[in-house]
Amino acid sequence: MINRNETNGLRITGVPWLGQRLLAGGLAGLLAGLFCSFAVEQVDSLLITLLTSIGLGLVFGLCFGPVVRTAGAGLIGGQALGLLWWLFGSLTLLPLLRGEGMLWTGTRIERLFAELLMQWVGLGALLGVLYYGIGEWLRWRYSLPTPAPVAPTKRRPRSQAIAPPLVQSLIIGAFSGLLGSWVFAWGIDRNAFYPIVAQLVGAESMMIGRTLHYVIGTVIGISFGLLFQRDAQRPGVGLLWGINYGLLWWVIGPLTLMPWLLGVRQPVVWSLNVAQNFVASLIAHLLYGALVGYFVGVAGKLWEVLFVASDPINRRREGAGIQGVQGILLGTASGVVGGLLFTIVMVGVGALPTIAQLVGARSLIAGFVVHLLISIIIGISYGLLFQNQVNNYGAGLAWGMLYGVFWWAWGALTLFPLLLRQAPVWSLATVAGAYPSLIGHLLYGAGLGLFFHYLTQRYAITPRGRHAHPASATANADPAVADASTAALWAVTLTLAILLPLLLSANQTGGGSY
Amino acid sequence: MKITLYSTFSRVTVLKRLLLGLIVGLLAARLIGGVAPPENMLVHLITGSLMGMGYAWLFGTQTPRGMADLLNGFPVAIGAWVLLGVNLYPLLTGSSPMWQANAIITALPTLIAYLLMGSLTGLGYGAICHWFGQRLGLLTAVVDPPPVQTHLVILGGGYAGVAAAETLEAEFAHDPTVGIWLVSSTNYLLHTPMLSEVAASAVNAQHISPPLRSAFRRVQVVQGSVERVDLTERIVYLAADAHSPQSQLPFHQLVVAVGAIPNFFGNQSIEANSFTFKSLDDAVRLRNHIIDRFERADHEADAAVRQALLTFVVAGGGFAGVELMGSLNDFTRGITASYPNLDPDEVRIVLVHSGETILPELSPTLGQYAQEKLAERGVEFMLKTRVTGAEAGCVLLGEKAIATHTFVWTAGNRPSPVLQQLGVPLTQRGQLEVNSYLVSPTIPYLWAAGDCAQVPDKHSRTGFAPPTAQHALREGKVIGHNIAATLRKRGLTEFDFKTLGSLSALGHQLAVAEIFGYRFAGLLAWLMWRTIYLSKLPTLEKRVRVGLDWLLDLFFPPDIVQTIDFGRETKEDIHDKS
Repeated sequence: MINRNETNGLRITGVPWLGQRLLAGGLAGLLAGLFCSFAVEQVDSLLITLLTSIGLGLVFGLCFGPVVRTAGAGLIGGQALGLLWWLFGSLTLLPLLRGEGMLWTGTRIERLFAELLMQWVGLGALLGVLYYGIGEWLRWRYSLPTPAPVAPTKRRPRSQAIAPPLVQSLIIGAFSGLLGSWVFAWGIDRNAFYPIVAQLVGAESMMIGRTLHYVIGTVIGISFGLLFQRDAQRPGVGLLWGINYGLLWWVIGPLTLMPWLLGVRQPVVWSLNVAQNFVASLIAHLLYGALVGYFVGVAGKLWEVLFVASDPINRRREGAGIQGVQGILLGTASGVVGGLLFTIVMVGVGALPTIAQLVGARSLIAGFVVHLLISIIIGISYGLLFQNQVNNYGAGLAWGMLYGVFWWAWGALTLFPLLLRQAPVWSLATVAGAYPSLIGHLLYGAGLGLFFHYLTQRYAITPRGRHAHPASATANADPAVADASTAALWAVTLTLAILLPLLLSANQTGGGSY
Repeated sequence: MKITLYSTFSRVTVLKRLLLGLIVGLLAARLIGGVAPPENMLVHLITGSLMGMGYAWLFGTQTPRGMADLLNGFPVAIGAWVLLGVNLYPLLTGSSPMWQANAIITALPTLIAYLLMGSLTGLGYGAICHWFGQRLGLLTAVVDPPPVQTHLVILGGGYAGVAAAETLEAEFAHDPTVGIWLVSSTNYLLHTPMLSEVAASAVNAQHISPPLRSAFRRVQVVQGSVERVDLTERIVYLAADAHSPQSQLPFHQLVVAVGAIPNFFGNQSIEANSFTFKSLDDAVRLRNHIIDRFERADHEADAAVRQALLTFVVAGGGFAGVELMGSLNDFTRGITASYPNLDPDEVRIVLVHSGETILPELSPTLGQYAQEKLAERGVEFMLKTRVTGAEAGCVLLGEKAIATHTFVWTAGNRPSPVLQQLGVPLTQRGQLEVNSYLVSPTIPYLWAAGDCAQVPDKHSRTGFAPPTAQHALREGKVIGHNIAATLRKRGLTEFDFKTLGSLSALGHQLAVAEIFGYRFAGLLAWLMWRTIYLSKLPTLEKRVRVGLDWLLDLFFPPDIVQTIDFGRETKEDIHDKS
């Protein structure tokens, strides 16, 4: 079977055959199930867990197998499957089969929080990574058909690969991790946080804790560069994969490894109450991941512009300069539309005078003008980051809403207090207080993403000749990039959609800032 | 022949898609509604149908892809939850929108229900499209690429032709059955206001001429000339020099925008011994010729011969002649620094004009101002004087003569001779007559614009649109819209455009301008000239390049690299000429 998709600048000649995918999926499911059974407290029984995980592994191999070409793609695909199973299996089918009556009550959803994390991380993410590893091992061991770059031909000379070399990716990841670690500490209670981190090496000093925090941040940054070297090649996609990676480390770090290493709880307890104590950490991880991903993406894009796109072999009709101007113009108009939608919430909660404080004013009109200017600036950044990412309205909606969530964390919770010369605080109370702003940001993102795609379509012209693509009017959308990030997009959107309301709305007993 | 399945964009297909979305959404809502949170089933059904139609709108054009369809339902569900569950439904029931965190817990079960409804809708919609898409008319099997049914041919790659092609391309952006061909003698669009800067080495030649191919995605550019046009059979016959596999271009609608060529009024001596200044090639040749004269003059011992080598005569005091004069004056005087054997005072720049003042297109005061300023900068004017002939090494002005090796003719234009191939009656000036819709009054599929057309203009003193770029651009756009309207059987648009203004550069940081009746001169006018014409230069890339050229021009001397070799003239040749 020939798959003519192109991923990461490499032509893929084949996809793994079904038996190979099922074998890798079954094995990965078995191993992930065993891990969950022994490491996590909230599981039914060994047999049920193993049967479920093997079944999920087979489904993963069947449905996600063809698109898993990197460890990062395996990870994100596994997470998506874990979430799906939580929704359809744990929350719906299993209670139905057990005859448990009314579904989806708030209490039940809260009760299944631990299972959500288990299926998202313990089962899903692990399964995805294991699937990739086992698949690679099978290919190597039995010389199975490998998705591999086609050798350069006379007709199609080969140029520099789009992704930066591994060493560069690791270095970029390290620097991004360092920077992300710095931002991580902005909104948390550092006096409480650093000593806890220091306890990991049996110390209590702030200095050791801070140093260790930066070391850990750098190492996670390096791992991002390693895992997503070929996935996060553009700032927009990098942002997305980074947010997902940050959320993953929120579960792995403060909710799992930290209590485990400190001997507080064994096995791990993932209750909602415990998670609510780490809401500040969640926002910190989200921003950390977003920044790491963004900078790795920027570096990847720079690499592409300087060393790949500038190569005459790869030249496109429109260079980065022209695309950039288009992104700015369309982003400006879309930012206005999103900003007007956001204004509904702004007016509803009376936030405009607060926004006006950014320019030392207090009036509604000043607030509206500042709000619209900020909307335009964010719209421009969206235009520049996501210009070639979207190939239908649905993707536009999802990218826009996700970008809205990012700006809720980065803008409303972090930059806004900083600009008002206040320290950002990401405590549960503060974050829950900013919930209306999250709704506003979601509306903003939806308007921005949809209108941006409308404008892109409006001014697109279906090309002729070999540039023609009859199935889509958005000829400038890069299908390879869009395909590679689709699973990631849905997984992150779904994760945030479920996690945030759960954490911020349920019995708000937690008050810890870390 | 390749057959491809793709989603069509017709109104019927969109309605079918929405209907399918509605049905699938209703079914998903019915299924989920049975186990959903305690809400009215009607609410679930309304939500389901809205989500289904939303899905069809958001993802309806996508080819079904199994698991991806299921995942696609999530953003639809989250969007519906934010819009309906959190905002609209509470408002409709008289409650406040659920923007507060503590209220969200009550909406959380609804989110789960929406997520499941969305994913089922996506899966169901995708499956139906996959199995029955073609039968239901949602996906269409077409020959890829589809055959062209309507042929639109544009003759001429100037402002009018390119504007018409761009408009037509936008009008038929997603209709592959309409084919557009542009026949042009060059493969670029020349931005004529900056042509004199090329001759003066201030701007690189390629930078003011964006390639036609980069401007279009659909239009097929044919480089070459036209042999003849059969308006009865509706066929354009291409000349042998045309770079096209076909020698004929059949058309349903024909746009003639072939522009004008220099008019020597039958004087063959002028035609044989002068440079023209209409094309990029003319400007490049002139620049190289001037540098060549300087190279020779630098080693010329005979003062009279040297004087002839350093004398530059331009005939015509209109925009083209004056702008060229200003640029040449700066260039020739500027490069003497690189020729130490030459005295700058030996450079002689002469403008010959038959009128009383130069720039008759502008107010007399501006013409006077331009004349004074150019004279201050060393330009010599011979007004109310006509060039009667030219020989090798001299220009004849009646009984007078000026010894020169460089004579540029900008004193007249006439419509392109291609019009004579059309076989239709032309106006007295040799132009094609069109009505205010820019279509021929006798042939409804023949359109014309630009310098080659006599376009009625109620704002003009002559009653006809002047041959300027701003008019040509607007005429081209009107033609594009009117051809689209004709094919779609809609009403036509009249050409109605009032001149915005005129600008003329006079050299270093000096210009005159008349915009909306207001007159400007000096540095301000020069800044306006640069700003306006830079913004009018097609493509961002070229604007950046010209901007950089201008910036570098501030700090570095003009480039005197000679890129054309005019052959080795002996000293005797030059002496003979002089």
